[in-house]
Amino acid sequence: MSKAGAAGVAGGAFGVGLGATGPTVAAAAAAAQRQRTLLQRADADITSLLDNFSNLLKAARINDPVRNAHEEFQMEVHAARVVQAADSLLKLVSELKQTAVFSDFKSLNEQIEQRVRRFEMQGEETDNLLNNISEEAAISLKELESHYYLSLHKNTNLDTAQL
Amino acid sequence: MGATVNLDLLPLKRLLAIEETGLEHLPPEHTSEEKSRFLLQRIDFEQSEEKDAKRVKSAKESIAQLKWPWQGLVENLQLAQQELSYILDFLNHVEANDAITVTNMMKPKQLPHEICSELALRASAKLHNFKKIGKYLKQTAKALEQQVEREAVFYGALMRLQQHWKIKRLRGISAGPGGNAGFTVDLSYPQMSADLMWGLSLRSAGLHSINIEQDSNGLLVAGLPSECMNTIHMQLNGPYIPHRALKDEGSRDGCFILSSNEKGPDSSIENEEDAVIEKGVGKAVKMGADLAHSVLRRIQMAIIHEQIFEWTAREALQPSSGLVVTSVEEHSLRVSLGHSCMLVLELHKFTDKMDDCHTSDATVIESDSSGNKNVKVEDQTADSGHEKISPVEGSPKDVGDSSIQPEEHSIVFWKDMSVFICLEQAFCQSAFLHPKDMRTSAVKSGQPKSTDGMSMLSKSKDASSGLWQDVIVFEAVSPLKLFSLTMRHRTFCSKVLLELEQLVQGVSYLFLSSCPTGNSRVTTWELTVRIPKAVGEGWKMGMVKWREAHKWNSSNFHLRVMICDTSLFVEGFEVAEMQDGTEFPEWKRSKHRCDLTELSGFLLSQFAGQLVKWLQEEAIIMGLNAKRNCLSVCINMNSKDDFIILAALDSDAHCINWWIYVRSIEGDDEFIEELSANKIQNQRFLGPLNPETLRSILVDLLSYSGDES
Repeated sequence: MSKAGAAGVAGGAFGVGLGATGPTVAAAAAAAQRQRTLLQRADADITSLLDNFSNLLKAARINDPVRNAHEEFQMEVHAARVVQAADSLLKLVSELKQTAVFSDFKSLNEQIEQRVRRFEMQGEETDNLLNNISEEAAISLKELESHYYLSLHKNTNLDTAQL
Repeated sequence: MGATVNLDLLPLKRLLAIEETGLEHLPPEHTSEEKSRFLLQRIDFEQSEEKDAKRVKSAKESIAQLKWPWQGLVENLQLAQQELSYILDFLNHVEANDAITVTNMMKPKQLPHEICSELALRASAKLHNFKKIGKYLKQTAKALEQQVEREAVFYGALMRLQQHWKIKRLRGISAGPGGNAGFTVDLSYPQMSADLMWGLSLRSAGLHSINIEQDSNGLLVAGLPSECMNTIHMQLNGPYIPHRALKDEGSRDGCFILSSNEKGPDSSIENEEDAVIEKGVGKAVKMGADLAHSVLRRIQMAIIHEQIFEWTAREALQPSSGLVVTSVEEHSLRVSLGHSCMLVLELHKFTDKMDDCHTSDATVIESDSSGNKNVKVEDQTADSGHEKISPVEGSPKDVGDSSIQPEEHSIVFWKDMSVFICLEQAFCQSAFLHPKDMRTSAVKSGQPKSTDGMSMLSKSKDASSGLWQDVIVFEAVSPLKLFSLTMRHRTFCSKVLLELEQLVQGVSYLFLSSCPTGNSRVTTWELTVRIPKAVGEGWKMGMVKWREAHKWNSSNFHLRVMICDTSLFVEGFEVAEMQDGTEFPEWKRSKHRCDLTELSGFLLSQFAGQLVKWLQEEAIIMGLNAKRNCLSVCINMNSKDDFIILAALDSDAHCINWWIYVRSIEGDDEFIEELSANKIQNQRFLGPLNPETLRSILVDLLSYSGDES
């Protein structure tokens, strides 16, 4: 999938930016279809949740024992379907999150560019740092060497000879 | 049995009419009440009423006659019994279902309190059901809430991780706690050039795709594969060890498992699994991302190490690499760097403990001795040939010494991280930096970089750079060749430095200082003779005064020892104020290519010449008639014998010995003959002397001359 097409899918998934970046028609259609599917799923889940919950409430009416027994079973079914609808909604949210994480190519590219810039800066800083370190090391080395060659440790022979 | 009940024996359908066409007209359906009413209507109660009336009449008469008080009760009971027997008989018929069919049964009307209690029972049953459903919903709500939190934590960590790693989604697998989350991290390097990737690292191929899992807390977990996690251990064995003072330091262990920032998962974090998980942000998200990041970093390091090893092994076997491979095994590579130095690359199983690195030496020996499955590529001829061909590596004796030395001193292992960094850089240049990129980077950095990636320093402020840039021209070489040249250079430098340090120990007022070149293949040292002026004035200097005097004293003579790759050059030049004397041959600035074996003698001859020159100048200042001849000063005592102070070079001891001769007036030619035949009797060995003692000899000679006169 081309980058622009992918951006279109991402945009379509979130309902923004369709056609702004010039996606292909097929990609835009696919994105719109996906968006519709997601919305339909969300609507269906919410409707199911509400219907089942209202049925649960309706089952609160006290009837004859036989009907009550029927309603008990119906209540269990309605509760299970409420839970199923909630779970389905949660999965929908997960899918949306995944789409947000994986299809947001625009921000991903921005991040990558940002990191590249940061690494370049770090590279330059490191180069400068290494240059400074090498200069400092050279100066320190010279100083230490001069200290060493003028030190008692090096010139014990000299000093003892003089003494 | 007064009442009779007429019942239909057969429940036949009764038709109202049948049409010619056969269509039957059924009577309208009766409701249950109508049926019961109809049935009741069919019961004949007339006879029983008449009988009852008669019975009442007769009873009144009998009561009136007898007046037994319990007679009525008895009759009632009898009647009740009869009724009961009717009912029982009726019930039997109903049960037998032979004559009577029950069409409807009316429930007896309940009393109000009964209705209330039944309603209460139903309500309580309903309540119980609702409570059960409520409990179920609460439990599932709690589970869903946990799932929401888990997902918030997981996706938060995933988003963080995605900023650093290439994460791929597996279709068809949904994330769930305690299992595969449906994501993988791609650790391969698509940027790597194809020819380099070819045939590279089948062992590490399994590490290129890492599954991301989700634990029970929703934390993102990257599985650490236990197998194929290798890390490179690098050793440089040999008698010439740079940075001798640091060789025993524990921090210089050559284990390159992780850098300081890339330690394993923090145990404190692992212990905090019960930490409060916040939604989408916070500690848990950071913890998951950090843990996975560190694990992935570790795996990536293992991949890189594996690839470095295989790349090195493959490239080293090519003749253009400049490396002499002595042994190749599955997890070990030995490369000779000349001068009896050996670079050992080993792949060790990844362990968290750095202590395991210390056992690497033992494993080296074991792997050498057990050579069953080892594919050793013995290249002794090439190695020995190299030892012989190289002009700067010394005589065969030198080679022999160095080969014996490890046995005498038990091979000194030294490990240097810089070696690994060099190798890593060579690999990265080869793998990721294409020639085009190298050119652009060179242009960008503004330095004349050659394709080997080595920057040729052309700093105008570095006066020494001009010295070596006109000596040697670096060719464009492959990264591994550059590494090999660098390592050979370093080994050779260590050897030369040992010589120079011994020289400095042996000669007074000789100073050695390093001149950093900023180039990994060029090393320069400067040797300076500095005789303080106070010595010439006859001062006996203490250390403090001597040091102070040195600070303000300019150097008399410079020598620069320079190594480009493995070529050794010595350049000498005098300072301006020393060029005043015109009657003596001047030490011109000159470059001399020399061998390591002759380095010590050459340098000693230069310094001895300088000391002799200084001695002659001192003698002239004192008023003695001194004449210089090569490395000797002849002091003419007018009417007496001449005294000759001669500098003799001792290359083995790295010092300058002094002799004094007394020459009779007979003639120079005869003396030279005797000197060459070593027949002179009037000679005395003085040993290595410092300038103060030499000057005191001059003073003695001066006093001797004065006494005679």
